Amino acid sequence: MQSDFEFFINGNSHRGGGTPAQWGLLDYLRENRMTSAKDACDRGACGACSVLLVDSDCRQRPVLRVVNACQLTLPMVAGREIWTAEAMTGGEEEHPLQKALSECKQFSCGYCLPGFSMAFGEIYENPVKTCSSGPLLPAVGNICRCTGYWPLYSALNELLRHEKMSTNKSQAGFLTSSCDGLLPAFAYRDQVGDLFYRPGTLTEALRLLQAHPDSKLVAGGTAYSSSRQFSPRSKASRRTIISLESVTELRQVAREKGQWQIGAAVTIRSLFDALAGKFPLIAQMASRFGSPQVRNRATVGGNLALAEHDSDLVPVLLALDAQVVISNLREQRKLRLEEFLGGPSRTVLSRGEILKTVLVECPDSTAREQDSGRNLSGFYKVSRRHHNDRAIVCAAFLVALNEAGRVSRARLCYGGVSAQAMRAYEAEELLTGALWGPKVARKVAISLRQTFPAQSDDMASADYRNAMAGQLWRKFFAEHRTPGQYTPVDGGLVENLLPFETHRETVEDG
Amino acid sequence: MASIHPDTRGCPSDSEKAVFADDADAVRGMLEAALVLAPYAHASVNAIDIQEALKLEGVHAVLTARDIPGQNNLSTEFGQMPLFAEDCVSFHSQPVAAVIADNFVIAREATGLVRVDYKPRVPVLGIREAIAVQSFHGEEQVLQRGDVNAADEKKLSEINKEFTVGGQDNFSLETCVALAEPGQDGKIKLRTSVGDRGFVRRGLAGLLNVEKSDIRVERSLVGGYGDTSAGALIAPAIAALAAKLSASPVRIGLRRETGVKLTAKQNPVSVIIRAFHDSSACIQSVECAVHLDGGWQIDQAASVLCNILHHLDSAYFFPNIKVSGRICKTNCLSSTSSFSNGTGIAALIVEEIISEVALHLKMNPKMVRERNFYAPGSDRAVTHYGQNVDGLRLRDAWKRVTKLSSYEDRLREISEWNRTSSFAKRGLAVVPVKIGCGASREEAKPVQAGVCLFADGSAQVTCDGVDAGEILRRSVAVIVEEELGICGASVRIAAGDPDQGAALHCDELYAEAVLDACRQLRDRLRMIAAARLGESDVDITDIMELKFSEGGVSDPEHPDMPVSLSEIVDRAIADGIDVKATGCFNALEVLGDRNFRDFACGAAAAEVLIDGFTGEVTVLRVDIVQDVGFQIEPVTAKNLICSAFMRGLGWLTCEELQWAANGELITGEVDSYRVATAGEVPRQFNCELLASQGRYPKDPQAAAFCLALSVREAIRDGIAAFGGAKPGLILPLPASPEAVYFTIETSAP
Repeated sequence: MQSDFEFFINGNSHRGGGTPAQWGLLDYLRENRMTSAKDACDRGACGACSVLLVDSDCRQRPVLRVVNACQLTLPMVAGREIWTAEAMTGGEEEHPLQKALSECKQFSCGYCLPGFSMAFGEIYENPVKTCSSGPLLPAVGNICRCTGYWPLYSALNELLRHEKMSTNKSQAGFLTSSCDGLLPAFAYRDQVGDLFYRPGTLTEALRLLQAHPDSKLVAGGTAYSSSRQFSPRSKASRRTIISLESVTELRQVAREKGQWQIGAAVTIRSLFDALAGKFPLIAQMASRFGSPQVRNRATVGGNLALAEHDSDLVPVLLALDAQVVISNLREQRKLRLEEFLGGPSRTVLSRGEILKTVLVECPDSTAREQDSGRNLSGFYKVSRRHHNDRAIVCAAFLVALNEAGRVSRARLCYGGVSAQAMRAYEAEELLTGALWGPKVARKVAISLRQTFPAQSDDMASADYRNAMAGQLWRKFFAEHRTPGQYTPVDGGLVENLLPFETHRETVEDG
Repeated sequence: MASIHPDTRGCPSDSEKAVFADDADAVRGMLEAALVLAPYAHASVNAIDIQEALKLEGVHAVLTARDIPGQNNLSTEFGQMPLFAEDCVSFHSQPVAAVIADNFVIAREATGLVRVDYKPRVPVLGIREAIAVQSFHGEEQVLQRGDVNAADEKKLSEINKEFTVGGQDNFSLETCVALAEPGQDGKIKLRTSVGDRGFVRRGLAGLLNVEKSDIRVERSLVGGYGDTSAGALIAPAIAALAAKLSASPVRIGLRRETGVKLTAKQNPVSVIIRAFHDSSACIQSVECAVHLDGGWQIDQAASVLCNILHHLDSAYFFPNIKVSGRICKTNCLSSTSSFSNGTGIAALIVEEIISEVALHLKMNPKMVRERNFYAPGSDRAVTHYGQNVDGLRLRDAWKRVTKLSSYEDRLREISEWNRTSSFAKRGLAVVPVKIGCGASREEAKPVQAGVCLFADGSAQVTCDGVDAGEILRRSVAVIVEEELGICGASVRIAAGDPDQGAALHCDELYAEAVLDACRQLRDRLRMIAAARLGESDVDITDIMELKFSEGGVSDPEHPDMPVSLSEIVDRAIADGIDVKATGCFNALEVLGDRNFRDFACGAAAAEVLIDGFTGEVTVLRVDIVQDVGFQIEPVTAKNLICSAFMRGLGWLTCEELQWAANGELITGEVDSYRVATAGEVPRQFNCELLASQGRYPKDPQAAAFCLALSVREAIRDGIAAFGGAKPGLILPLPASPEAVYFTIETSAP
């Protein structure tokens, strides 16, 4: 148990000893005169507090990730390295990105700009793309009221294009890092006795969980952070946080015995990097999931354990027939994801248990390549904004056809419509064994409109949600019945939106 | 090190680097405040019990109306507003008390311990309820020309429409923050996110019962577009009051959800239209009654309403017109001028009429627009308030945008595409706008600006205006460069007297005053320049034609032999010639009997793609052409246009203010009030300016904001492409996926 810890900001060593364990990174930055990170929404929605975190990617290589400082507590960055926008202006040489942004004659009050330079910095500073950033649009998690965005993206575009042409200068590495992005195990006790544990193994995590039955498990902390600050503190009890970020086995995506094993602490971004090429559903989902900042912190396990009704991830994993492995100190159990989800915002996780891995069958590559059988899949999400928004309704569809053109397997999974994410069993039954075509598709669409006890809220009415349950299916059918006919301009409704290529260097996966 | 490039923002002079209010260094021994907010939109306050709250460890004081040394009033030029609800709560979340404690967490906890005995009363929520009980601020305003009833007899087609236009929040990212420090001399030092320092001093002096000069407001950067409604003064007032009473520094940082519930909005408007047109789409008469939700207190509603009524013609000449407006008194937040000061609402209403005529006659709305344009130089050139629109470059902009957007070709291509696509449709629309520019009669006030030259060839401008988004600084720098040949980088801007500062959005006035000062200086320096050129054996063709450019003065015939400006200034100083000049601009004098100094105009063509399955809209392309008068840098103007356009687009497509049944604002967070992200930016955005004309810059932002209506009209066009767009179609606002989806579903055959 330590009463102090070290972390690095802009290359300087900082000490966290003496600070409350619940304290936010944003609070620390601002109190220590690094005010480029702004406190504008305090719930990870606006990107004004963006900083760069040295993290490790899905293959444990160091990589810079843009994150919202308001979504991290200080002990979460123990032993880690942070870069703020001050690093781009403080030195003798102005950062090229910073220069580009200040010279582009945008009209801006300057309040949100440091956040943009961080979000763009993730694109600019990572020397080698570990994967193509593909459809992950940069900086859609940053809100700006002044510039209208266009001038900022044009500046970035210009800069990247210019540097692509000039060969003699190093493009990145302005923020030099000495850190490998890996996390040592760690435990901290603050002055009032609040505890923060970051165990290195699952067993250790389970032991801690047993020793502190009232503790809270966190991984990325995106959901935890917004509830953290103002929860009234009962004076008698200590607050204990157990972070799963250092448990290596929970941070890996590995293939074993025809299955992909996805660690519960794998971020949505890492999931995308590892499996986007294998599962189109995952690629489509990740590109619409939250914002870049949230994707870089939110984890697969955290999202499943919260079991929110409008999760983008849950329908996709339901469609892929995912299983989950749950551990306690004595044993492991394996459940189907449906069984794991116990009801609205509920799971069957009981005291002393940790969600360990998510298992997904490897797509059968041979079957896919044969002309006779086909797998059709698609992820759809309707929201009030194209990006950085919650789903009004999202859906993941997976339909396998056999040689005769009949449906051999169907998964129609929805989020957002009703109080919990769920499969549309009735519709799946209608489909299974039927000849794939407009007749059955229509029947299914009618059934879907009545399947769910839809809810109304400030985003949409129940009527609209019910309608969308059927409409998203109709859209899926229209797109897959005669490929290419429906799909309008540029291949998608929201992608390819920005006037530039985000990839500077694409390294083929593998 | 505070903001990312502090030295270029907020126009500080060299010695005075401004930062955002909350980014300044913390003060030792600082206390923090939190507010007790009323849970009713309308209630009597019988008693307030603060004893429990005071018992909590770390609480220093609980302030209510009784603790105010002066009057319980924040005064602005638009009226008065109590800081704390005293006997009566007039809107939901009105502050009733403030807790001052060691830190915010304690203060916030203590707010829950303040017991307030309320007696709820029936609130008036919304325009309809206000009309039902005849609850209004002030009298009905009417502008009228011709006879709108004469049309009845001429066998014209009649149009009737009734709808509501939703509101918008300024929603600057910076939250409301204030930090007050009591000085030993009884003065109070304030740092606040409210940008207009004079506004703060005027608003607080009566409350604190001190002289304005006893309140020292530090210069800060302003996040977003600032707010000059009375609600913005709540944070600085509480900080100052608490600091004065507790003799400690006090900070108040309103969390977003709280700040949003206290500050004025661009409130909703309900509209009733009756218009008559003939079979050739000429609109003969328009009658329009507008009700603006003025909230609980008049604030800026009168100015907004006045501006709406003066823009209910947009780019069109209506021979007979009667526009009337009333401000409803409700238990809602008060109304502010927001981004377009009502012009966006007015243009939207007018385009509703146009599109309705087009639907009636099954014509392309573009033709209906052209039929009804103002025609400068003809008998269709006078507005309904009697001002001539000569010089309006509407036709130029219209022709140019049609060409720039390849309108005709794309119209054909799109209708072809729509024929083969059953589930997705594209829509195309081109929309004009005319905006009265320069401060209107209501806002016009005389302003001053000083320009001082230095022997190193640089200049300093002293200016009282409040700069939001750097517009003022840029336009001032451009004017100094144009007039005196001093490059923008050598122009510094210093703060003037905060008490003289006009409100935000008066950049044009100051630009005029700077122009005046520059011309005075030019006149003074001409003689010296001529003498110096003479010494270098340059023949002067005409002393009035000397060219001030690139840091020097030269004869137009001999541009290669300039004298440097620094040399001239040096000589002038030696000769005792004053190199400081004060420029004045009195907008009222210039206006004469006109309502606006001039008109700006523009046109935009927008194309959208509508997903028929879901109602989602993607903006594919936007082309804009605008007249910005005396042209500042094209890049600058284009970026300004883009910025205002995106705010208009947000208002029309994704931003939505929603209230619970009890009158509480429920869309107060960044994730529930949806400001457009980069995901909403048009995929293609082209912008052109008409060639520079005249000597006045025209703020391009109000027109650009209104031109986002091209997207709304393109959505309407796309919906029509799904078939069955019938007359009477009301396109909801904002055009959310749900709204568009149900509009298609209900209107399609």
